[in-house]
Amino acid sequence: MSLEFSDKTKKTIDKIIARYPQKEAALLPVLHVIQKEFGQISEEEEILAASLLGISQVKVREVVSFYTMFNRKAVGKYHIQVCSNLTCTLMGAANILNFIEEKLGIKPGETTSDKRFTLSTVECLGACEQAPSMMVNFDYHGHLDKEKINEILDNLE
Amino acid sequence: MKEKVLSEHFSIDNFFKLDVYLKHNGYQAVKKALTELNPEKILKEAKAANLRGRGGAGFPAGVKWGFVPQNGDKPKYMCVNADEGEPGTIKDRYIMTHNPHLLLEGIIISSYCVGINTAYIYIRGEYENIALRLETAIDEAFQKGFLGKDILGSGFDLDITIHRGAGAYICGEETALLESLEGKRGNPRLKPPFPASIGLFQCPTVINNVETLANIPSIILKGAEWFCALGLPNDGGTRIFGVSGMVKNPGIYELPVGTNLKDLIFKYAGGMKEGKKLKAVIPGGMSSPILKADEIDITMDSDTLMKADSMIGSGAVIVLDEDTSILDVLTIITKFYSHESCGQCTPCRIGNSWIKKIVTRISRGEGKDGDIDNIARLASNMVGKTLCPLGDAAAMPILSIVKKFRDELETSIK
Amino acid sequence: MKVIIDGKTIEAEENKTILELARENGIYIPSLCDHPGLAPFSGCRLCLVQIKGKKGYSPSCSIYIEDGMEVKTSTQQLRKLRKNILELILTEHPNACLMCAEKKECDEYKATIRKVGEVTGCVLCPNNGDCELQEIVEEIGVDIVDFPSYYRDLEVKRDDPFFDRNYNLCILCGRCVRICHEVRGCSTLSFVKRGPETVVSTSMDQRLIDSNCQFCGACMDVCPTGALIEKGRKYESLADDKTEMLCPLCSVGCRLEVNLGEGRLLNTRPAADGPANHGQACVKGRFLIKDLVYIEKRIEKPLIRREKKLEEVGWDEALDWVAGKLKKYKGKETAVIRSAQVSCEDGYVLRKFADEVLKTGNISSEPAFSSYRELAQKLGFMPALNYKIEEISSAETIFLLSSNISVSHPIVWLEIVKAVKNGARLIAAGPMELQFDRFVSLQLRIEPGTENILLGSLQKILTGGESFKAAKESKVAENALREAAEILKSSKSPAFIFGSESIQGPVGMEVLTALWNIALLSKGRLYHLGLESNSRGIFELDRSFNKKSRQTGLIIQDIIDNKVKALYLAGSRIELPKKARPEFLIIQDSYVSKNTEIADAVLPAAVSAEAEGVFVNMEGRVQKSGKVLEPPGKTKPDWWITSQAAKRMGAEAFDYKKPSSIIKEIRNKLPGFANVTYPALEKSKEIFIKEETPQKGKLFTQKIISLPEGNNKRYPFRLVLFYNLDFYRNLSLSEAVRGFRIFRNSQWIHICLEDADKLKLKNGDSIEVLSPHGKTKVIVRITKTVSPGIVAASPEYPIFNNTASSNVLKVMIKRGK
Repeated sequence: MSLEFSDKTKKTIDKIIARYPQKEAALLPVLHVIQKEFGQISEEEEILAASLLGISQVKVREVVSFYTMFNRKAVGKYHIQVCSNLTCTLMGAANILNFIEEKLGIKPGETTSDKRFTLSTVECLGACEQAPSMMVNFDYHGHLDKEKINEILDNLE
Repeated sequence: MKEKVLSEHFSIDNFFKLDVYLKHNGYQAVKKALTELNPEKILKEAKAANLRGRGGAGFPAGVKWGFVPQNGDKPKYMCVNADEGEPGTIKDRYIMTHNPHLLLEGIIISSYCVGINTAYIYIRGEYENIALRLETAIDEAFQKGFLGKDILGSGFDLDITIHRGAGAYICGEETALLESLEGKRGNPRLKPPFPASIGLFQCPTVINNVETLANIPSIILKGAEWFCALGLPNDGGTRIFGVSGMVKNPGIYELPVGTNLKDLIFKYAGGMKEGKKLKAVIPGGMSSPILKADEIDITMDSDTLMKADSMIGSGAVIVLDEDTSILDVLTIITKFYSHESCGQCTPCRIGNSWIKKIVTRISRGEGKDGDIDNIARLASNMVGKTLCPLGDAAAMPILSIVKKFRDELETSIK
Repeated sequence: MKVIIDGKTIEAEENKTILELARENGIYIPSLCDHPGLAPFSGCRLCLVQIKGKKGYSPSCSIYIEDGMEVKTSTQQLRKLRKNILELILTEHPNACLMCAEKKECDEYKATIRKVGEVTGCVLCPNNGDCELQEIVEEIGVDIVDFPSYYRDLEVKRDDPFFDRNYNLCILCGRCVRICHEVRGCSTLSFVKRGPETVVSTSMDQRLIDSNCQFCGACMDVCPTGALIEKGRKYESLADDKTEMLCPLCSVGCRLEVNLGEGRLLNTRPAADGPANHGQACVKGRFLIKDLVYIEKRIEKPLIRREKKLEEVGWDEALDWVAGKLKKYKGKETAVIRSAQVSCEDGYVLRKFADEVLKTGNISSEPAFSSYRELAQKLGFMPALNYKIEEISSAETIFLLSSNISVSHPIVWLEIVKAVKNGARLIAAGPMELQFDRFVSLQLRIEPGTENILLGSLQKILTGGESFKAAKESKVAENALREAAEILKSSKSPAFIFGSESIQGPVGMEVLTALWNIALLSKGRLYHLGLESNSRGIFELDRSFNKKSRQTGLIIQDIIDNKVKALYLAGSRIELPKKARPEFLIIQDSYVSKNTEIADAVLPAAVSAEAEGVFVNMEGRVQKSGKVLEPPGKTKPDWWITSQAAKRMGAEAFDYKKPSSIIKEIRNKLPGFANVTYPALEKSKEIFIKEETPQKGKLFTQKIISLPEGNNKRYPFRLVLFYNLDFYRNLSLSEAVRGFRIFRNSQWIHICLEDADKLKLKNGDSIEVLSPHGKTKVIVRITKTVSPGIVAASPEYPIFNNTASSNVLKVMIKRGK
């Protein structure tokens, strides 16, 4: 079975492609849209991207594998990405990570069995002034401590 | 109260909205530039302002624009480097979040100056919410006629597209950014040719950092002389310094170029947290060589820091206190650069990988005699010998740490 | 300009890198990622040099020279730096043997250890002694590596034909990735992941065979290490000699470098200075030449049929017996069918044998050029046939009438890829889609067999005409055709490239006429691809004989009608239908086949690697192929066998001692060969068939002929023929070589997914194809290049081949048992 987009997404993709003088240039934004729609960039999604942009499959593969934000496998409803770079580590990111690991019962790279949470560590998020910090999906959270994490995670839908 | 160029209005509610922005003199610079000035005059002004690039390399923006060939039938492109990835750096996030129209004004004026009709903002993938905010700002500007065809009746057209990255530090390097924008792996290009002549889609291209461009509107409105006077004669204006780490008040501080680093930490950022002693400072983002506590009585500008064998980079100051283990710092730095190397050239790909392996081994308590020398040798093999500046960015902080904290590192081995 | 390298002032031309200039002047700068013909990569960093006035170090492979530039290539800092970088490379490449004190002795005694699976040192590596990394270590002199060896422990890929891939030996120079993308236009290989985890891989890490790989072997030829391992060479001895030959497997005429070891042919590689192939080859030239020599099917002794059985005999006995039998037939009762894969010498002697000894007009013609003879008659002169393949890369527009070109003539395809990458527009016309359709800017997909309608209509548009049939009959939209005309009109000298299949058959002449007219109207140039390695040569030879040669199909019909009773079949792949078994059948060939089983005499012929001879490629370029090996057993070159038979039949003018004396005779007789001598061919690569002075062309009326409808109900599919050219003499390459058969099989019938689903067929199913001419068994191959209702096959199989005269065949498909 090949993947199918909603009409709305199709229009979005057409619009994106029209922004570039060369179709191939739309690869990253198109992959973002595909990931949003299907939750992951696996083989099927790569084939889809290649056919949308008229490029060879391996061109998609080499790009997808270069960047860290494309998920080979779908992540949970909430993707928690804890910064592990310099400032956050100085400010106690390791404890934050440990706390989340214990709270959710998963290690970085894993997803809870109810598919609600995926935990990852990431390089600098650009929020060093509020270290330690993390991202839940694309929302930034800083000045983390145990209470704040409880508050953030417990208030998610 | 010091004069602020970029962050003056950050605290105003909804300043990111066009109607609020317009109430505070918004788009006056664009009006002036497009209706009263011609590109030559703008270029002259930008050169006179001695606005050094705020991304890290510190190259004068006006001079960069001047490199773009004026004749030729190829289109020209503007790429805004919003791939803020240098650890410690937070300033562009603030500008784009709180003052997106200022950035747009900067893009419009500089595009007009160079004769560019298409601009791309390459923003790091993680900043999705900021990308959305920028898109709204662009839509607003379109509706008011600040973007699109025949802007303010000047005959000048400009279109701006937001392009999100996808998690690769190297794409902050300008040629890797171009590759990434073209839908490829972010492998840096060989230079020459330089982007000003052969850049995006093989066309002449200007690449400027967000903060750099955000300074342009004020230069247009108040003049190069005023701007220069804010900072230093050959390094004009203010900078948004981001201070993080073990200080009382981490955050952003917009201060004149040439502000004393000691003042920045102790006067503006409130001094050390919990009364601890200062151990060292990384003055310009993680890739800048480290300064020891006794080296921080120094002004924050490109030339001075270079003389001190460090660099101002992105103006991101990371403060380490007496409890910080320098081995931990080294471990994080080496892990980061090994992870972010694109893999094309030998010294960076294999060199960083070995440094990481050795440092990790030391931090496991399995250090050996000669390890420190080998780290230094591997790092020296990168400086000036790699394909792109990432080799230097990795090697310089490592070499400075090895040089300045050798004793402490040696104790981790014995 | 003047450039100073290491104190030596060098006069140089612009547009060269420092590295190129240094190499030209014998100055050694090590490099592992640079390669001629590839864009600079600057990855290995071994070629760093110091330039006066420039800070630090610069990669000489990517910095272009400037007037007055002063370069130092070998300072003490540089030598130290290179050593350090090389050391880094060696930490990730098995290096023990490189620094071993016993290495000299070891090489001699441990050659057989290369049979192990994992390579952990040079003596275990199949590329030992043929490795640039080894050479550079030798040159720079690394004797100790300060870091422990790091084995990446990547899985060794062994599940593809022809070569294995062991990326544990890869140093990520990117040459393979770049040649696959930049030169071959294939983009099968790529870098995947990043930083220290970077690996060369395919899409989804699939096998090469599932990743569009053409097995051209270019990646192997540029690899500076032993990461890519040729299966066929793994268990061979090390090379002790090198020589050259011509590839006999298509009309391009690739020069191949031959590695020999202990008297065996080890492998073949494209010669860097091959005038037609410029260092490139295809799967056949790269991997199959060795099989042509050593395959078990080789016949090594003469055989004659006595008491119903074929019996091994000596040459004298065999030849006397054949001569005696042949003498009994009248001239017109005899026929000679000859391959166009034999040399000019062989082909000439066979022709002379038919004319002067058998005294028959039944000699097979060369089908590739048959329409050209007719065109020449209309024109009053032979149109210019010579060209250079490399011209194609500078064309602005290419009109291509040969959908299978990337398979049949891959080297020509590379020039098209180059042209498209330089901005050329490619118009592809034909009933099938190109395999690499991403290079096409305008596709004119037509109904099978309507090429002449399409071209006739295009001609009408170009001359300002209005009405045309194309839209209706060939199903090409009028606007697409108009677009094609606009493109042709707006470009300087478009290149019209067409395969022999389109100018054969009942409307072949009309297609050629239309091409001629269109080329004339758009000031373009015709590029005829030719077919076999010496099609052009045989055509040129035949032109000089007064008597016309005949189509093979007509000769076979005469056998069926019992008009021809004795057949001399030399090197021909024709499979004789059962009804066409002549009274007396002589086969002069190299391999056991269905024909040899029914023959009365089998005369074993040498293969191209075993005999020297002259070949004329599609360009009209005359090249000599060298003798690389001694023929095995009693096998002899074709010219020797035929002239011996002639002598024993009493002919006098066949007393040739060596092939050069035949060339002398040809030269004296045929003006086209006026420049051709062995010494001249050995000296120059630029000797061409001498052509008549081209005369000004004129337009001809072209008839637009529609094909008859046929019985669509009984035969619902239209079968399109395309050339793979996957045979050598009487050997089918896909039948003979398993690895090749997996990759490409002449038995495949290409069908689209839609039709396959309807018939419930899947890849690899055995099916029967029935046509009004008979039936044959084939294998299903599902592809995107054909449309519903159309199937495509190579004309190697009898029922397809016998009907090649109509280009399109109506067929029915039945599931096999």
